[in-house]
Amino acid sequence: MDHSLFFLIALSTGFLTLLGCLLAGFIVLTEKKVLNYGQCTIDINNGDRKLTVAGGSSLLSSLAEQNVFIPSACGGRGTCSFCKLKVENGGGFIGPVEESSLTSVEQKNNIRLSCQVKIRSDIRIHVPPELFSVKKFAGILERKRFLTKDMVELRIRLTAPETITFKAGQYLQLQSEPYKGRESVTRAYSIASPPHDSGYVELIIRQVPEGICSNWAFSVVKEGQKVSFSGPYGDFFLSENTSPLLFMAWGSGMAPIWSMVRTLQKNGDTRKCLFFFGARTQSDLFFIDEFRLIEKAIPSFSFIPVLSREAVDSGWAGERGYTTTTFKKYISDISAFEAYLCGGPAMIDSTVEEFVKSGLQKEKIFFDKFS
Amino acid sequence: MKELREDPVSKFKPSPISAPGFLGSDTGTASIRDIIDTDYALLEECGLTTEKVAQALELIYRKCELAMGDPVTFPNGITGELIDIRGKLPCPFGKCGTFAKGQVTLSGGVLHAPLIISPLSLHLIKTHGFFQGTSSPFRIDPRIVAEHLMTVALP
Repeated sequence: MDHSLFFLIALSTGFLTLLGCLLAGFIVLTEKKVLNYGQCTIDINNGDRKLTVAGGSSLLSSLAEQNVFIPSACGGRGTCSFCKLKVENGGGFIGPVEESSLTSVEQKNNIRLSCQVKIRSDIRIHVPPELFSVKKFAGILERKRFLTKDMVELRIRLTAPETITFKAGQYLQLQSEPYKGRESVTRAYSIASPPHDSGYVELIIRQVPEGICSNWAFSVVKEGQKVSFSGPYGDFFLSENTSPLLFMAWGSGMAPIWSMVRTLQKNGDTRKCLFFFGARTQSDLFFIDEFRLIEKAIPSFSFIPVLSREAVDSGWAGERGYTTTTFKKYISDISAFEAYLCGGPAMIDSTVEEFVKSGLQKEKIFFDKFS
Repeated sequence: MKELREDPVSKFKPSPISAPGFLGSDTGTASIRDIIDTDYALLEECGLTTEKVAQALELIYRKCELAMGDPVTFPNGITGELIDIRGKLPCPFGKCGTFAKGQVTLSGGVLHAPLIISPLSLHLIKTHGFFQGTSSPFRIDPRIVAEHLMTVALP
């Protein structure tokens, strides 16, 4: 009796499985034959660019195939909301995944998640022009070094393509590999290397509790391993002006400033330049020797670490306290400077407030606020 | 508190956006409502509302923000430390925009385990009444708030 019952269950299961496979195959074939969308045109920025793509794929992936890379942290799964674009015409209906990610104002303004828009016909979109210079890169991790207990530097040699063009201050989107059950993700990190070192990129990454990419960078990826990323992104970079420069950063905010300082050095720029780096104790400092070398090479440059929690009897002879007050000891008239800041929102907001109170116009303060 | 119109459960589970997800060891479509209802009952027992809890936690977060990277010592020996992290997180309930990824970790003193406050977790409590699932590293237990944090924030 038991054997007959078992046989019956197995036969039913097999039959249902076969039926399911046949139905799935039927759907796929039907979609290919009946729902063949043919070639479609993506009109970008009112005819500025026109791409011809095979219909049926998402706008995000279709653009990527044509080397237009829209930021995405979730790989097109509709969960990060980073890939928003204005779709002026031809985007089709808004599905439930998209609907839950867009505010009513965004929907009213034709903002869509490009990973959820399926190309079924010609489509007209707006892409921020700065994204056209974004490329996908492959490289090899050439050097990994721990700068502090929670900060790691990755130096990546580029292999495809072999060079990168960017402005000091911009960032890239690094892709982590799957590990310990965690999926591949992309996360933004400032480029710490200078643009003239074009065959490499360097990143400074802070280890974050439960952070997928930062923990991959910290504990998983090894020298010699392949690494991929896209970039450059961002509008935080040095202006064309020749004003004296005031840099301020905290933690991994060092990265874009480190790129800027080495660029200035390479260009033989000798205008007055002060870099205040806020940290708690000496154990949070890095690149000290490198900065002292730059100070010797460029007498008008000063690197001023400011420690807020260094033990009184540690022998530290440098500045103590906070960057937002210490800068006043070094600058009597801030109005002539241009300021570049990189760090968390609260740090930036407090610092901007102090700078403005001290007489620096807001238009001369540039920042990368991490968010 | 916004009504839960739908349960996009996949957005609450571990994902490329959040390694631990928002449900902890609680899973399943019904669990989001269960978590909210259970914590709502706890709040009532403690004589609190989501608004009062969010207000207290926002004050604590703000104090840590203003400390310019230094740890803040609160009454009951609790220490709060802010980490600034690049990036934003979308609300898993959808339609609420994205939130900065900073974190304040409260630890020590009367706390048996660290407790993490983030702009997103504040929003989840204030707008959705969602304190996150059991054993989620970002869960903020209403009882802990009632017992230790209300007086810390609003002495």
